[in-house]
Amino acid sequence: MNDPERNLLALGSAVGAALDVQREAIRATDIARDAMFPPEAASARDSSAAGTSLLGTTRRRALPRVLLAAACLVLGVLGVFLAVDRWSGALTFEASGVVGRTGVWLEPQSHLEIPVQFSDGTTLLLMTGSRARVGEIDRRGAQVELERGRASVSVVHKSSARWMVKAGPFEVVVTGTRFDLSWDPPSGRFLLVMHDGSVELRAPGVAPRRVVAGQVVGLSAWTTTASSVAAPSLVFPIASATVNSADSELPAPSLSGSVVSSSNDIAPRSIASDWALESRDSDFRGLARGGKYSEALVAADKVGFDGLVASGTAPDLLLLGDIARYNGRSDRALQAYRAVRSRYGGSEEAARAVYFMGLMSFPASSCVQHFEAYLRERPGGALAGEAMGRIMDAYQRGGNPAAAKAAAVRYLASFPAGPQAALARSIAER
Amino acid sequence: MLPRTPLSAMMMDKDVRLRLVLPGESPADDAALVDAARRGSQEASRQIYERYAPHIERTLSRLLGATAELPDALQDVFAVAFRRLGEVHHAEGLRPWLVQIAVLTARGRLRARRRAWWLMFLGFDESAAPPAETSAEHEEAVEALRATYSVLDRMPVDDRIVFSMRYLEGMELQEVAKGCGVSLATVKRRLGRAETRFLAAAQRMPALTPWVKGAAL
Repeated sequence: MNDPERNLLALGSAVGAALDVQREAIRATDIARDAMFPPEAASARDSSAAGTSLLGTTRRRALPRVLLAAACLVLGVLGVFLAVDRWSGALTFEASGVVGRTGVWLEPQSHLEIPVQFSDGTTLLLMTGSRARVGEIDRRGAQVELERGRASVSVVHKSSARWMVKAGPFEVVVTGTRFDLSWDPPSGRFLLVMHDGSVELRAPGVAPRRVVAGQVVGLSAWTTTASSVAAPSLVFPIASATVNSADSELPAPSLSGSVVSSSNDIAPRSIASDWALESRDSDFRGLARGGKYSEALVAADKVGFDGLVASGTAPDLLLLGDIARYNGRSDRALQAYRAVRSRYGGSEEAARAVYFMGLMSFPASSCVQHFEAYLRERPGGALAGEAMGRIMDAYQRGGNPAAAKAAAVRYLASFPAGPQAALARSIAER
Repeated sequence: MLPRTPLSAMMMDKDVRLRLVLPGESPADDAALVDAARRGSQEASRQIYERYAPHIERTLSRLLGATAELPDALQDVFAVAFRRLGEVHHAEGLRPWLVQIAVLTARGRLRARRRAWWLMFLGFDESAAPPAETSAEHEEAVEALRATYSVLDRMPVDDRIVFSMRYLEGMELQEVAKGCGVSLATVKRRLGRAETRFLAAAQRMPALTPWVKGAAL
């Protein structure tokens, strides 16, 4: 016997002795005997009784384990539910990628915007010059206070969702929709542009109104002097509103006559005529989709082209740019396209915008940088072939055969059977 | 300790004329008990239990450690044994046969322990034994006991069983092989692995170091 074996046997002997001491405390033999041979079973000597007792005891002892396992399972499921409930409790949000805190004012620095992303997928884009904060927040939604400026809001639709955006005296109650909101305390101007779904609009002194997709609501509030509205109050009285309703679905609000003037310092502001209520049918989107670009531009102008550009979503901005471009208003088109580029950089709309900017470039040679920008952003995009072809064409027309040949080779490599392939081959073979 | 039914209380089975005997009597006595138990005599089963339960309990304790599940394990062994008594063809084979069942039972429980490790996080560690009263002179052995099982708990179950049977129970290798139902070569291979693992772990455990270095002898 070698040393390790002898040592291990010695250890085993000591451990065994210690085990025996502990084993005595457990009294396994007695407990098992009592379970297997209960006193009442001792007198039952028939084979079936004995068999039932011996086998049944095991089953009886197994039962608590089954119950224990079931209890564990129930507890586990409950735990999961509790954990999920906890995790899905109050929503959280990030502002510009930083974990946000309720009550903290968000104020984009110059030329920047603050994207606010909530944990349920709801987003809020706070535009330059705006100031807002997330107030109360719970599992169903949050209350956002827009002190000034513009915000583009997209609320994920849920039946239990409860969101509210406050802007001065106005409240927009949301369950799931997409809209843009603008609030200017000095002028008291409030603009709501609905893109999807519907909201309930509340204002002091008037009954709540339902606003649906395609409608634009412009309202004005009384204000005190501009310098006194740093902190907007919900007690601003409504003076009046200009309402042009062409849609019976949205009756004109009976705001006139609801003037509540509690102070002689309060002076009414005139309502800008371009702040109007538009129906879905007269919306510039519907007109543009129907090919009525001239009417669409008029409709957009009626609402306020600048305001729409300032608060528009990426698709709307692209559409506004197209409307202006088709009407020969390159200045407005570029205004809309640049807004897409600056506010929705990286999006499909932004890439398309730079392509369209290339189409409008003058002199033509300057278009190359725009088309190249599109190709960088969307190398496999739907307009990639067109962009390559136009680059090739621009170089050729610009008197740069070497660059044109390189562009032609690139085109053929990507689109050997494309619509510009014949031209590309002729350029490449020179 | 609950009072045990005195084995001297000879009872005559109603159907099977049976002479009850004390533990350690001849294999022929085991044969009579097995035969009576097969015919359904609960008293014969009881006597088999009384005869072998202490030994099986001891074996189980070596395999499982001082655990509160010992009574359950012991009951499982005999429940299986009584159900399968028909498999015992030679009375002299009763004891190793019971050991074999004990090894299988312990093996199943050790594996179940590993599957149910998460229960410990929920406070359902039913394997914890009640604290035993130990004297001062046993403290060193108790420390070695704890350390030994902490090493064994991390060992593959089959290796652990072989190691426990050889060194904690003091069985010969042939006996271990029979109890495990494997060949001698398999036992040697498993034991070699277990020894290496145990000795390596013991070097890092103050409670075991003197033992494996022979200083505690």
